[in-house]
Amino acid sequence: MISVESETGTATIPRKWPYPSSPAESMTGYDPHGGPERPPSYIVLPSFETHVSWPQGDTAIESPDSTVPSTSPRELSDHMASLCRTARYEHFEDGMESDFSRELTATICRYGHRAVEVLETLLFTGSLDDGVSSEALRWLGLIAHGPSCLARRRVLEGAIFSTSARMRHGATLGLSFLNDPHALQYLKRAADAEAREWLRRRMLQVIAHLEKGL
Amino acid sequence: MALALRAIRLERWDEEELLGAAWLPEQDIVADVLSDLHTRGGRLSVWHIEPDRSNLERVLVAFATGRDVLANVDYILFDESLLTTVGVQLEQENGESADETANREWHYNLTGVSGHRLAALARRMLERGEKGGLLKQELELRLARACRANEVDIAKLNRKMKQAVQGMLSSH
Repeated sequence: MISVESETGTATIPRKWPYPSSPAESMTGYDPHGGPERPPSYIVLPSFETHVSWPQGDTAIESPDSTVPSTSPRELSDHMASLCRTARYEHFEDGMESDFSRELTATICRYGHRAVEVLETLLFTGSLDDGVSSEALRWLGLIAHGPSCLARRRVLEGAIFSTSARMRHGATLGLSFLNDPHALQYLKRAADAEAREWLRRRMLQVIAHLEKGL
Repeated sequence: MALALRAIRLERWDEEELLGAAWLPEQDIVADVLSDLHTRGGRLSVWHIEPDRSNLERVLVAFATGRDVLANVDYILFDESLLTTVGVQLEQENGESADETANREWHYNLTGVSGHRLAALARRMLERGEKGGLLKQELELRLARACRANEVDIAKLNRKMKQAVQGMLSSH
């Protein structure tokens, strides 16, 4: 379970996918591939934005853009789940927009890290189609929205340890789009553990690119 | 030996997924990969790559100019002689990228592509092809260079690509 502390209380999110929540956590020896056991309690997520909150119940989420109507956490969650479900029938190509990518981008630009957190839960519970998850991870890297950048990067850094090769690839590309050397420590660990040669080469390609930028 | 290039979504060409299914008939391939090989009227678009690969980067940039946004571009490269083994032919037809030279000189269609031949081609591409790709930032550099060299007609890019290219040209 993940615990999120906020002014409105503490919310817990089922955690079905082992991944390091923060660099600090990964530095403490937690191994997403079944290495040293981490304490079986809760992780307090760091604050990545001025306010990290997970409103309880149906408390309305204020949109960052006041012209956009507010929506409740349940509505946001339902909207994103429906968006991802419908996307199963779309065909995705690199560099091409889709109904899914346009709506995902619009939702994240409206609701910022809250939308990212909802997507994270959908991704980590393994309820989504692999192809949709991979596409979502690419767009987490492509979206130009500063306020949600850290939240998006954190999801991508976790997703490169997914059990799905497609998701690991989507996350690797997402991190390459973000172009942030912070991801290097995660990418290196993922590449060391990667069994698929084509994917390991892709990870090494991204690592080489990010190291060049240091 | 001349080569043919087809842009792909790399993760769809995972050998383990495509050839490893227990139910798969011998010499066949899981059909998911065919979504990277759209045909129209039995024709499949490919790019011709010179034996020394001197036009590889230019073709990748040309291909990318037809997209909505700048991202990675991944491809599979295979020997053109493989085409005769599956019974399809190469026919030159101008491409639709923003690079007129690439369109005219290196864009081809495979013709006579039936369902059976397409599956056979996909299997051989997977077995004998060479996969590769450029990351978004690598592509940006090459695209900026191509624009400066007037290889790419910026006016032919869509709005978002045009904005990205104009931003790149002012920063690179």
